Amino acid sequence: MAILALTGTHGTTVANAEKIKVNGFKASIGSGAIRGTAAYFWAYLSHIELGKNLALAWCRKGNDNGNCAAIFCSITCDESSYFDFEDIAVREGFLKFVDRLNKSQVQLTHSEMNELYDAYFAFLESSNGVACDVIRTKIWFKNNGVYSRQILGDNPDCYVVKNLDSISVQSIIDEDGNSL
Amino acid sequence: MKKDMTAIVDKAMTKLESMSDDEVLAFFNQHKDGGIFTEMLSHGLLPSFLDLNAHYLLVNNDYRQFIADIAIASSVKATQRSIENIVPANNETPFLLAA
Repeated sequence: MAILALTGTHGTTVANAEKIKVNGFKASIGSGAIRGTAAYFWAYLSHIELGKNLALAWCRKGNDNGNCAAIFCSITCDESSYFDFEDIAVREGFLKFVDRLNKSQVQLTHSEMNELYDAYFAFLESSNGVACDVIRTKIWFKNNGVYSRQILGDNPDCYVVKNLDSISVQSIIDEDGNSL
Repeated sequence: MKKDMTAIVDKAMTKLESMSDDEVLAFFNQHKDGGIFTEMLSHGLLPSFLDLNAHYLLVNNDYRQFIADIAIASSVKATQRSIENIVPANNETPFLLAA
């Protein structure tokens, strides 16, 4: 299998970015996560402005004082440990897994949804004998302001990184473009 | 990049279909925490954690949120401090959990 070199950005406050620079990333869990226990990155290939602006916009969404930063990272993983949640087979597998747990029609909390994602990816891992280190998915980010809804839509691409060792911080910039 | 996920999911679904409802539920309960339990256990935190959890279930009935509240971004050092902060020395109901 090939080694994949992915690029993504993480939006957070300048204070948190400084901590990440020193201590590395921690996995978001519970209500702080979206597709399970992991660190989250906006995916980009060569469109650096897209990655930067999504990260800053995400930070501003929950932080009014403007001290936001975009952390540019490289994410390296073996192709065998890379999963695409937008692949129809993977998504249908998730639905079948949820069906077996009789949760298809249950109103779930954010944390309970993350439990389902964690368990599903663990099931894919255990039944195939592979690690599930990185998952590509689309994350709902309505009115992100980076591009209009007609152009980008409300669901930009995101990397859900479960293996934190695969993340390498490349650079950090604040809202004025200054390096941290 | 394009990777054929069908074979991987098919293998998982074949296994899923072969499992009983109890086995599926047991797998879910074992893995729904995303590895936080394993991490806490490896650092000797689980016994304290389970004592607290019994209280928390009674008060809030939100076991998963409890993990999120105290296991700050899965930082074990922070988690240990949090546990120490919310467990009174006299072993009464932790005050944060009753809030």
